[in-house]
Parts: sequence; structure tokens; C-alpha cells
Amino acid sequence: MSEQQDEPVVCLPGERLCRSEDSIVLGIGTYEQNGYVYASKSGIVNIEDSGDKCQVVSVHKPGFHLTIPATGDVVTARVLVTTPKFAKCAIFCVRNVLLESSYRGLLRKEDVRETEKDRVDIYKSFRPGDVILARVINQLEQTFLLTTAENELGVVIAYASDYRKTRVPMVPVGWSEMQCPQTTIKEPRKVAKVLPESSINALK
Amino acid sequence: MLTVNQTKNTLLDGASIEEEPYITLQESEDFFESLDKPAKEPRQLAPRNTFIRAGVLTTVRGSAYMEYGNTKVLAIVAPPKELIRASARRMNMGVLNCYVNFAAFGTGDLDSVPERERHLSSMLTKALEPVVCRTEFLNFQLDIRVLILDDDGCLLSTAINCCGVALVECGISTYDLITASTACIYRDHVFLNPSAKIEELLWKHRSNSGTDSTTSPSSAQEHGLIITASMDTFEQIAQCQQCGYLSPDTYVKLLDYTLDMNKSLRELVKGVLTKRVKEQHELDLREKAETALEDQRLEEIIEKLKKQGLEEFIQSNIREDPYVKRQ
Repeated sequence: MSEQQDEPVVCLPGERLCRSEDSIVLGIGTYEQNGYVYASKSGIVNIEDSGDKCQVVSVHKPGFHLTIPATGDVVTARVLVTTPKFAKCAIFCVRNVLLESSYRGLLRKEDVRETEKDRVDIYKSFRPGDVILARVINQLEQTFLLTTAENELGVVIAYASDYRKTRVPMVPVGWSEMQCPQTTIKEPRKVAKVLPESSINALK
Repeated sequence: MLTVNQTKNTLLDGASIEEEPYITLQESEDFFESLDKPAKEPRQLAPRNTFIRAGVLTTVRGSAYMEYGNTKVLAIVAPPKELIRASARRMNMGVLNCYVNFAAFGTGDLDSVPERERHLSSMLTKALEPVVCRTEFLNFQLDIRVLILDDDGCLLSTAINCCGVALVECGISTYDLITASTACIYRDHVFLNPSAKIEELLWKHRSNSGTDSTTSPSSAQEHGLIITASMDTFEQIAQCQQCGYLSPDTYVKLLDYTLDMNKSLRELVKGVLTKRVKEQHELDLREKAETALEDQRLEEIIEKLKKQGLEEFIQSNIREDPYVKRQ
């Protein structure tokens, strides 16, 4: 690669970036055709070295870029409806990007918890109105299948059932219970262990 | 261009006011004579005076405005939405929907507007489908809206050009840049980028030759219009629309003209988009620098507080946490 590092290389869709080789991984905004890597977005070409002697070629578009939840992304969603078998959610945030319009998400009963999957009850895990953190498993037609089978995923913000009186979010008191600080009512929830951002960065 | 024909009003007992209900052959003949005709073979294949700007609207993510001579078009691309129609669900690709609308003042002939809108919409959809990476937004639909502010011919090709810019501006993955142009032939004269009047003349000619006896000399003459949209990286043609009567030789000739014009338009579009990227990159850098400055400022404050005795500060400002106290 004879790309200058200091001067940003601008590319446009359909521009040939480099030859496609085994050591080159296609990143965002690129596609492969006839043995060459082409750009599919306008932006600045980014070549990063990743491990295993591989180079990731990607195009970064400055300003706005489109976000659609992809498999493996952590999303923030609001529970809309719960049924005995699944909970319907509206995804409104992907990673740290707020979406303009919400996407539909579906959280099945089996994907709520990692252990004791058969003894999960949706109504003991989520209530409509809860804000949850979840991971996208895959895309089923128009809805995204979500999972909360991780310690860090689950309910983040929840109000007690009679929240109209208090309007105070509940406080987690254990991994499966939340308590309202004013009325001291305890309600079952699949609680997420929310980590501060600094500790997540330290792990990486 | 801005003549308003009164549409038929039912309240007026079927009475309608029209400025020119019929144009006789003689009249169009006269009109043709009054036109300044190009040479039989165009010497230079230049597009009209063009103005393109990406990101004209701040409220929408992808927008572009284009002036092609007197034709003025505004295109808007919204981020993909969930499919509304259930019938399209079976598709294993994203669905593209284009909507073309005329501004109320954009055209003279109000009668034919709905029909033209529908026709342009479907043609635009067909032209843009090959260029968008539709596999990237599976089971979603992409809405592209086009508003025609002024119509002076070459509507479809201008709309395609404008949409191509808007798509890139919105950050939708596309395989290539798409450009389109129009050429037509009428009475052995090749018109590149025909104006609305010439296009109108062509339509009149077609409808006349349909009703007249076939022996009339004009019907045997070549007349026709070609709109070509091309993607030049792989030398692909995204769409080629043709109407009228053309011999194969003329067809190839016109096609070559449009492709040549596409190439020069492509350079223009490239320039516009490159400038736009650089502009936004600079904005991004500036924003980053500002946030870095802000972070630094906060850090300094924290540092200062630490020196002054953070404990003291907290004790005086923050209420005691009940849980901590209990322990």
C-alpha cells in the first residue's frame, strides 16, 4: 500500500481502491468485483492493520452515516408488548447511535436468560415500558431477533406497575428484582449489570 | 413555460377555457422553423449549464438540488424504513420506491400531471435499482422523493442525476455513480438535451402521425428520443429508454452521444461530491477539535479541584448517600 497517511484519500462510489488479496479484509463501504476492491460510499479511505498480517480497507463517510442494526450489535430498545412466548420491542438506539426511526425487535422467551431457559417467564422478566439492552442475533424478515442472555444485558430502566403515582425509576436489588425507592414495592425483572464505560474500555 | 391551462370544471357545465386546444400541423411547422436548429451532426457533446449541490436541506439526511439549464429538480432520500406492503416481503433484496411530484407551478399542463408523475416514478425506480446495493438493507424499503420545480425537458435524466447525488449524500451504498442524459432526433436534426418545446413537438408529431395517413412524409422520417443512464466504472447501462421511430444506425449514434455526455456529467458529479466530502471532513475535524478542547478544559478543572481538596468540595456540595452511610 503506497497510501499517504497524513493526506486523507477521498474516494467516491465505484472507485477502485486496491487489488483484492488474501491479506485484505473488506471493511465498511467497500465491495469486491472482478478481483478488485471498490468503494461503495463517498468518504475517506482508511487502511488499518489488524492482527494476522491482515489489512482492513474501509471507507469512512464524514458527517451522517446510516445505521441499521447488524448481527452482534448491542441495541437499546423499549418493550412494547409482552406475551407468554415473546416480547415485542422498539429498537431506538444502536451501539451509541440514536436512530431516527425505530426498528422492530422481537425477544423470544428462550433468549431471555442463559441458564434455566425452560423456566423463564416473560412476565417475570419484562413489562411494557421497560428500557432494555439487548444484542441482535439475526434478522427475521422485518424484525430483529434480540437476546438478553448475558449478564450485561437486560432491563436498565423500569418503573413500578403503579408508576403513575411515583414516576421514579426502580433501583435494582439483585439480578432478578427491582425495587421502587418510594413505595418499596419489589418487582421481578431480568436486570442488566450495567458497567461503567471506563471499566469496559479497560477490559479491551 | 409557465402557462396555466384551465382544467375542465364540472361546475361550469363542461365549459373549459383553454388557450390552445388544438395545434395544427401548420402551426407546429411554423414553430419548428422558428427554432434555431443545431447542425445535423452535433459538434460538441456538452451538457447544459449545470448546478448541483448536495445536502441542501438540513432536516433530511440525503438531499440534492440540481439545475440543468432551466430544469430544476430537488431529490430527497430518507433512511431505510420497514416495509409497509406485505406483498414485497418475499423479496431477498431491499425495495426501492421512488416518488416524483411536480410542484404546482412546475408545469403548464395540469391535466397530464398524475400520469406523468406515475410514469417518471416507475422509470426512476428502474434506473436506480441496479446502482443501489440492495442487499445491504434486506427487507427494508428506501424511499426516494423527487420534486420537480421547473420543467424544461430532460426531466428523467435530470432526476436520475440528482437522485444519484442524493443517494451518495445520504450514505446509501451504491455500486457506482450514475449519470443520465437525453438526446432526440427530429427531422434529421439531432437535439442533445432537448428543451420542453422540442419534446412537446415530438409528442405532437407522434400523435399526428398516428392519426394521419401513413403516406404523409413526416411519419416516414426518423423521430425519437433516447434517455440513457450509465455507470461508467464497469461500463454498464442502468437504463435505456427509447421512444419513437429510429433506424438502428441512428439509435447507435444517439446512444453514443448520450454516453459521451454521461461521461462529462460524471466528472462534474465527481467534483461536486469530492468537494462535499472534503467539506464534511473538515467539519468533522473541527468538531473533534472542539470536543477535545472541552475535554481538556474539564480535565483541568478536575485537576484544580483535586489540588484544592476534592474531599472538601464533595462534602460541601453533594448530599450524603444514604446507602454509604448505613455501611
